Amino acid sequence: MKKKKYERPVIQKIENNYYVKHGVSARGYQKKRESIDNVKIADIVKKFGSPVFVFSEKAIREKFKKAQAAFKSRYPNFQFGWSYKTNYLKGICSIFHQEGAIAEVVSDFEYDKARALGIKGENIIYNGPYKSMESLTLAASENAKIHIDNFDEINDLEKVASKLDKKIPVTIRINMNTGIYPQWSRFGFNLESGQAINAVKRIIAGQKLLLNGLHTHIGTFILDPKAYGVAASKMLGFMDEIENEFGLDIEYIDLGGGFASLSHLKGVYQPPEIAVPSIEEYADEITRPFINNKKRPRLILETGRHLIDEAGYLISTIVGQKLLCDGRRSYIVDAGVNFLYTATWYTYNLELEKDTDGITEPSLINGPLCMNIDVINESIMLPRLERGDRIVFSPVGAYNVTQWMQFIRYRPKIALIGINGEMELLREKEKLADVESCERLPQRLKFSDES
Amino acid sequence: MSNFSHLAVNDNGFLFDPTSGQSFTLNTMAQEVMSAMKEGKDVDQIARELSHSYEVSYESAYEDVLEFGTKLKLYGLSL
Repeated sequence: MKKKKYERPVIQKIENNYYVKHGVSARGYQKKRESIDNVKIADIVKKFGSPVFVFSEKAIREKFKKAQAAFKSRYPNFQFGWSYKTNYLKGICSIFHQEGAIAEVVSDFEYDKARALGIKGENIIYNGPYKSMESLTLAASENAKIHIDNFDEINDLEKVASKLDKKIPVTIRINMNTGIYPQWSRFGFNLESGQAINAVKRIIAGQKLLLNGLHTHIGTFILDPKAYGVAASKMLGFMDEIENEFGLDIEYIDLGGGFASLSHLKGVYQPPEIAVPSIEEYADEITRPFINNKKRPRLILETGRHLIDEAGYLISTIVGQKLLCDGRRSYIVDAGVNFLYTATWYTYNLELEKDTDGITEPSLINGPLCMNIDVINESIMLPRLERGDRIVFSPVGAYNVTQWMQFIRYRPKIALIGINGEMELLREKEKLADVESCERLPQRLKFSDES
Repeated sequence: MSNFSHLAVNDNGFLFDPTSGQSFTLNTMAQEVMSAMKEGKDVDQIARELSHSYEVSYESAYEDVLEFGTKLKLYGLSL
């Protein structure tokens, strides 16, 4: 006797407005992804295992070219700096450098990475609220673009100038009210309270540093392009003021980063396709004050998230499932918040590798950590999935592979799908020796079960 | 296990619980399992019957029936 096709028994509670809230019908549409840049998910997993981060070289280059065109077509005196903290894999940085970006780093570690990659000091923007004396000395000797965050750093740099017996070109970081909430005031000198002009006066009085640039970073995931227009106008106004008063020559204004990606920020009601402005909208607001200004300094941006987030995917595999006491189904996948650090703030796009039939049910996606907070998606309607099914999360290209944690598991491989569909390795899976390479075990603590 | 006599279930899998006023949907297999439960069959019996008639192993069917019973309890449909 031929056996009949089996479908798991499912009971679904009908709740008022339930499907409106989730936007999924009982036998609803599920997003599906069989491939990345025409390379099958199955082939990627066969070659690199699961979980695996995957980056699309095509997506990175196309995004960069589009953003570059948006700004250069409006304001030719423009330069992108690649924000290392967003993703400092060598392969990723190299793609951005090949496209023409200089480096933007925020620590001695990142400075070393840029130099090791062959970037000259003069093409490195050195930001961040703490820079060691050693790294300031190195950066100054290599003519890096040093962005001063506070008065202590002015003092430090003057000592470096005396040591190197040279006048060091510097930029000051400025924070201001651009009409957005919360106002970021942690980085740099405040404009409205007079801190910024005091910093300029202090630098001039010291006679060891030469102020030739202005920098600001107004926030992250900024959904209102007009805030950048306000920032640009205020920075240009400040430039004119200090040039007229002190005879300075400001070569560039750096407006930092903070453009949103098509990731779904938790708490934002609208989907990112509606809420997130286009690169042209950002470019319009930013370049308009520059075009209208008498002096047109070089405009620099350090956009990170916008340029890389959507090029990154994480392929994971369901390793177990269970029914929770509240009726939701918990799927355990082989990658958790240890690898997807930004899951705290963003709800990722979740795509299944294959079509899956059946009534959808309230589900959540948990990672493999022994921690209750290891939740990648706390509320999603899914059909019943099987152990071994693959789930692709995106966009995950920004910050995850820099902020990820080596917590109880080895960090996975990172792959690149090349322009011609080639599968290349950007980072090996960690081994015990990698993780323990910095550890030292005192002789007296050595233990053996044999003894 | 309840005999579910207080519940109204139609042929399309729509279930109404007049005690709580809540409604549910059941797929075909859930309807079949519920009928078996109504007849007083236990998890082991139902799982054996399912694995005999359907493309499913006894182990998987057992787990599914057990879980279905848990859901009925969670929804207040059985004791």
